[in-house]
Amino acid sequence: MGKFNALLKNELIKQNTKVATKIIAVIVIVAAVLLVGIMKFAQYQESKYGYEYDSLEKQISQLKTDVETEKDEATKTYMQFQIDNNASVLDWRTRAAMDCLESQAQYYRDFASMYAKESQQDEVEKIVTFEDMKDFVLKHKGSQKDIGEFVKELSQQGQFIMNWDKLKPILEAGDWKGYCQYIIDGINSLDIDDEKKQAVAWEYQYRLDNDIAFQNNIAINDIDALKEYHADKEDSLIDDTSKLKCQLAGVSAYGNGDMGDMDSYGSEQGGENDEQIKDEITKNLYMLENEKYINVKDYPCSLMAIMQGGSEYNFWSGFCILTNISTVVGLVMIIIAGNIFAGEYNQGTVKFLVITPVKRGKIFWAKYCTMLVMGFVALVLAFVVGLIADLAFFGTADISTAGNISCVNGVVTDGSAFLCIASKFLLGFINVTVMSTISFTISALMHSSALAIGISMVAMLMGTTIVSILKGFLHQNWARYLIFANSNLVSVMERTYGFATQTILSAVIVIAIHMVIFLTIAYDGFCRKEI
Amino acid sequence: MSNTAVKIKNLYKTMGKYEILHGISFEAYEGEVFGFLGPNGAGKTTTIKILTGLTSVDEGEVSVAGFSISKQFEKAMENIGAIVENPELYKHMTGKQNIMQFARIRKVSKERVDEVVKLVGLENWIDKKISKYSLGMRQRLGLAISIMHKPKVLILDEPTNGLDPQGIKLLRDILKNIAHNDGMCVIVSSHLMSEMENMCDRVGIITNGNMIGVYSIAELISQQNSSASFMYNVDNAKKAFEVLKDIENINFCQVDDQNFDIEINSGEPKAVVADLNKLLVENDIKLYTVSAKGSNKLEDVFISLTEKKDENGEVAQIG
Repeated sequence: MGKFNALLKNELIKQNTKVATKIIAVIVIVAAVLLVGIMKFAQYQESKYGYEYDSLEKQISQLKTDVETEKDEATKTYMQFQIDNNASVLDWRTRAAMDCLESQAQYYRDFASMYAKESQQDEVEKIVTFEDMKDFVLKHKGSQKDIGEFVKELSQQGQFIMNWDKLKPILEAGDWKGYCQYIIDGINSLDIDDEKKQAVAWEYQYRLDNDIAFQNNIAINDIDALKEYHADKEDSLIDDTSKLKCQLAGVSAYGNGDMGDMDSYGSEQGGENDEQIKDEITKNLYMLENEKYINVKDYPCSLMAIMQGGSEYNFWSGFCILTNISTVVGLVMIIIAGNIFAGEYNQGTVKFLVITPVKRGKIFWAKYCTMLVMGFVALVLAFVVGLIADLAFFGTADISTAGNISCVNGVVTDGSAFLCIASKFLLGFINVTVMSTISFTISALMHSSALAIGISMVAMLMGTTIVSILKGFLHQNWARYLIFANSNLVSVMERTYGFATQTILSAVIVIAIHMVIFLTIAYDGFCRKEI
Repeated sequence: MSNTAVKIKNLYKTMGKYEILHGISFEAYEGEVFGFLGPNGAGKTTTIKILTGLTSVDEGEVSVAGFSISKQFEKAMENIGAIVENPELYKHMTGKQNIMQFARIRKVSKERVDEVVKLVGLENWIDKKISKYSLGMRQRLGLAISIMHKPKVLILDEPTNGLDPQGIKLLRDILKNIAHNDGMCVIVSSHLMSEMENMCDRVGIITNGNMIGVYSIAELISQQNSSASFMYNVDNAKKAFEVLKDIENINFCQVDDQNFDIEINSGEPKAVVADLNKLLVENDIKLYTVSAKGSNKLEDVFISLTEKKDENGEVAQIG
């Protein structure tokens, strides 16, 4: 074994004395910082362009001119409310007023229009309150019974008739508890199942129980405050959970609390059947209870998915995207593997190397280990540098609020978010190890680094595309036995390719068979070939 | 005789369609410089590659210091130091880093490394990168790498290629020293007899994959003396041939009307020449000059040996 260690040391020295190795190290470091930097840049871009609002003064002055020309009575009323109370478009009171006035008016108008002739549409548009609607319907051949049916139908959806005159003073006082109580009372007065009542009222009850106020008084144009606002996952979690509960109970939720387009990635996935919705709810409640607002399970590790995922830029999204560094690490390993034999043959140094009292098999394995060690060091380097950059960019604020949480059949499992992502790093390393083994094999067989590096780069970058085409367009199921369909275990886990019967175990078996074949060919190529 | 360091027996090797070695056998001993001589393409490098484990062998046995190359590879290789073809080293590393690569595998101490570096006179260059070395320096560093573990056998493939006369002399002195004083067996291959005669104790001559024979330099020199050529300048070469054709043990070779060569194969050449001269004069041939043809060097012995073998080979093939 002593000789093997000496060989390994030799190979590492050979690699480390090369200028190329130093350049590669710099590339890895820069790539790691850049990857995390992309997230920081995206956050900056979004705070700059994504949520651009006018200042409060400007909004109010705009409202003052708009309110003069506004014809819709409902809209006019809440505009006036905004002006009187200095409430911005992001203020929860604005949303509450909108819900009470505009949304409810829309129900009434829809119902009333069933009794109206074409020429009377203008009159329908003037309906604002329940009373207006009642008058109109009774005047146009509608009966009390019809109205009763309508109210019943509304209550089946979990909607009750709001009264602006009652609500207005509560909102003017900024009393969020009063508002919650008002909604809860309203819902409780409905003649529906307790289950439905609980679903609709849940959000408000939860806020009251846990003393969680609505987001309020966002200083418009204050970018730092906006960031905080976007980062507040608690609100969006409550909102998601409320929606899920209502979906489960078959009622529609009040729009309040949804202060923007803040649908988190996770909530969109949930809810294909009742069991899944229940699991999703259980998971959300667990997260709220334990103050874990970031679930790394919701972060797929590819760049595109994160971009679609919305405005969630934090330490963990930076950390997740850092797992893409495996492509760069793969590049490093492929280059090293491609050169490791070809370089010796091209320089002619292979003769001195082989005229030593060691079997060629030992030299072979020392070279393979060198490739792995260099790759692993590159990975760790990228990991550490990326982590430091991530901390520098996003700070430590979000670190403790993340978990790797999933819920199946009501049982919540919560793993370490750090371990989850670290394991993705290692799985990515397996993928690039397979690709660089291809490079290693070609290098040992053909003694050409250009060929080895070229072919394996194409394999690494095109492999998934080839499999996707075979499966997606040509419906070739045998493609699942290709190494490209298996080597990326993260993709296998996330079922990117959509092979129904593919499991981690089957993927590992396919990988193992390929590795044995590659290494056997390479071993034979180096150990038996004449120099 | 001292101990056998290298023993090669009935070596056969085919590469693709070409049979490169047809049964090579020889032995080399400790304490001698063994020259391995043959024209280009004779199979010298292939034999050396087999000896150093670079190439596999089809048939035959090779042992180094008593260890079989095929069965006890690592043991055999511990006793070998070799430079095959050019001394190619890692250009991006310094001389010291290069030599340490091999010192680590062979477990050679740092003191010994410094010692051999001094021996080949590279102590001022050892920390410079190989890319800055001249061929001679690389040759010397290669030599240092090959001898630092004190192998029983040192094999050098055409070591004088590209060296200047001083370099050749330095190399020759080092090789003679380590063979005669340290008791190493040094095997040197070359296609130039002139280098061999100054360096080697014995030479094995190989051509077309066949071993013609192993001779000591002394044997070759005596072979040189046993035949001699003389150039004759006379008035009528044809007539001279008529006179001399019946004499045994000489070869007559007419150059033109007035010149011919005589090769004397046996006996005392000078006495034969005197007899021939007398005969010519007695037969009324005007003898202008007789001169000994430029001394028959070992080079010619080598060439004549390899050519003879070629002819035999062809005959054998036809037969």
